[in-house]
Amino acid sequence: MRIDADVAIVGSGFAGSLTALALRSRRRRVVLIERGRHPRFAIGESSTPLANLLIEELADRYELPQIRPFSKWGTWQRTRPDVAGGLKRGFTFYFHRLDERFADTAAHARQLMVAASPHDEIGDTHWYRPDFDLNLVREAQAAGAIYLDRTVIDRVAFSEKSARLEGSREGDAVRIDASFVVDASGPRGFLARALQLDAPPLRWLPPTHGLYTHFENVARWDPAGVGPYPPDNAALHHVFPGGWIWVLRFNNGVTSAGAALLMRTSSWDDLLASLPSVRDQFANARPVHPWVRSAPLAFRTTKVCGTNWALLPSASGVIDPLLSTGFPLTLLGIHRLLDVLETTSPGAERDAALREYEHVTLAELDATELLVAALYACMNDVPLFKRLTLLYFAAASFSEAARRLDRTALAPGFLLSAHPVFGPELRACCELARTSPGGPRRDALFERIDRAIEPFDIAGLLDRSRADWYPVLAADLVSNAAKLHARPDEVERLLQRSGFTEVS
Amino acid sequence: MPTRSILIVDDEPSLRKVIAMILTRAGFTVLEAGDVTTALEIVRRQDVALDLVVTDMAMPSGSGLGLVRQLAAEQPGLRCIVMSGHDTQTLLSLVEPGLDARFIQKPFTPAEFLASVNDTLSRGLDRSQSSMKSAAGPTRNNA
Repeated sequence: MRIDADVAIVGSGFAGSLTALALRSRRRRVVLIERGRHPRFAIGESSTPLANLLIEELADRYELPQIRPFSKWGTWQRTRPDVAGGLKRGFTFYFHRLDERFADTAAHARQLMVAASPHDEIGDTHWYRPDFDLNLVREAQAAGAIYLDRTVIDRVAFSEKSARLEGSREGDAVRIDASFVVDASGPRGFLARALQLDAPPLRWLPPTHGLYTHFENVARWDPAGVGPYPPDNAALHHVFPGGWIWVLRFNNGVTSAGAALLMRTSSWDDLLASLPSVRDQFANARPVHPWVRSAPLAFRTTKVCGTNWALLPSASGVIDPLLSTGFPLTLLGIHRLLDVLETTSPGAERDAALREYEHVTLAELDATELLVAALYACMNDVPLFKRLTLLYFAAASFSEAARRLDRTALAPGFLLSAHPVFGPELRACCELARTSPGGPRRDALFERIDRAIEPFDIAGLLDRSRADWYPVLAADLVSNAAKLHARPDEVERLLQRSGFTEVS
Repeated sequence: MPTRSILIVDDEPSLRKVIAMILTRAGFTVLEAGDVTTALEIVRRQDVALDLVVTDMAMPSGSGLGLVRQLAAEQPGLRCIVMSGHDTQTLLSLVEPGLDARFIQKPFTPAEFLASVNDTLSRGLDRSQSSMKSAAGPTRNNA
């Protein structure tokens, strides 16, 4: 089999298929290459407001109405109930002491709930990847992408103007000539192996070990008290010294759960033996997929692109799912790479654009890694851990609002990492937190984090009366319109437009 | 019997904290150092009587092996565990046969780590009958 294409995309997870769909809308000849076949198990399941906005932007910019419903829980459930997913109203953190049943104070000293949406209709989602990815690859095929599953590429050669990929599909030889190759095959993927890309250990985050699968019969986590949303309709985090457990509930009876750990564990049961309340939640749970161990969990290449190839961020690096950063990082990368392919011609102009793509991709991975590393260093210090996460929530909510108000320039870089004021403060606070400061230095760090957040806080994150339960309130956004260089009435119109004020 | 005192040396604060917590929960008194220089300062203090030093192998501030060699010269009775990501073959190429230290290969479980600590301390009670030459321990099941 011989195929000529403008773009060859290796890997047909959501990132590869979305890229294929966007390129097809620009009439590019696309071949989408998959080593396995769908449906298939995958993690990387939790969306965020920014990720959903980026899906909307892709849908609008590339005229892909078929993907837009997936940007909100309500439209997804009405239009595509056949694709399993989960409702994510926010980020829920419970902080456990080893060998003790979870207990908390009236002031929520050992929990943190940060809503991402005011009601279910515009809630974020968990993507049940077996269904989600299968649906997208079918959409890509329907849009005219050539899809080759069960295809192993074992040779790749790049010339100045094109690439040749050779391999086999069920015993038949396959040869693909393409002007450009996009690697969407995930960490330690196709080009990382084929080109033996350098991937040294991460700089700030120590090696962590992943252990995960999908379950059925996971009990709901509904401790006493009424938070800003049902705590289980969220990305549920059980944090403890040395690691954390994620619990993501889908609407098909399946729950994704797993652990990211600084030390190895011999088994899931062994891990839960010291977390009695989590053990209760999983007392009747049964894995429905073989356990997956990943050690180390993280991966990062030092090179992201060449003359006629590029790695999507998901192939260049994976840090840790602690803050659900994988989707927005990847979707931002898809937008950037599509920009490069659309607006530049092969040659010096494209090379320069690709170098910038690489620079931004690595910088955003770095910012994510440093923040996650700081959080790992504070897993024994719950107040500092919680305060550090507010850097993320402030940056994420500000970035989303600025983008929705067409003021993207106010929020440069993922986590505002390229912002001239916030970026350096984010790095400084994380560096300080990693040293686990005590006494006056720790007090000063709390104050510094608050000062860093304040100019970007449009969500009441510094309102201590909320006792670490943060709802999404229209009043917060409207009263902070000036931080977004907007008038209150502009923000009010945005809220109406985006379904914010709709009654659930 | 007084509690045993252990110095944990690791430049990586998150892992150092977890190891310190495991040791504290097991009843040990724990001191922490983020670099070799601080570790040596603690070891040389007159008011600290250490039973064991647990050090990372590779740290930006200096090698854990270098620390062990220095301790062997300064305090020959002090027992040491070196945590290393190297495989056995690499370790054997890096470590001189006579170095008196135990190695534990990363990644390890808390139970494996505590077993290594307890074993090192108990063997150390009668050093004349123990053989604590460089060896990668404990056997790890990757499944």
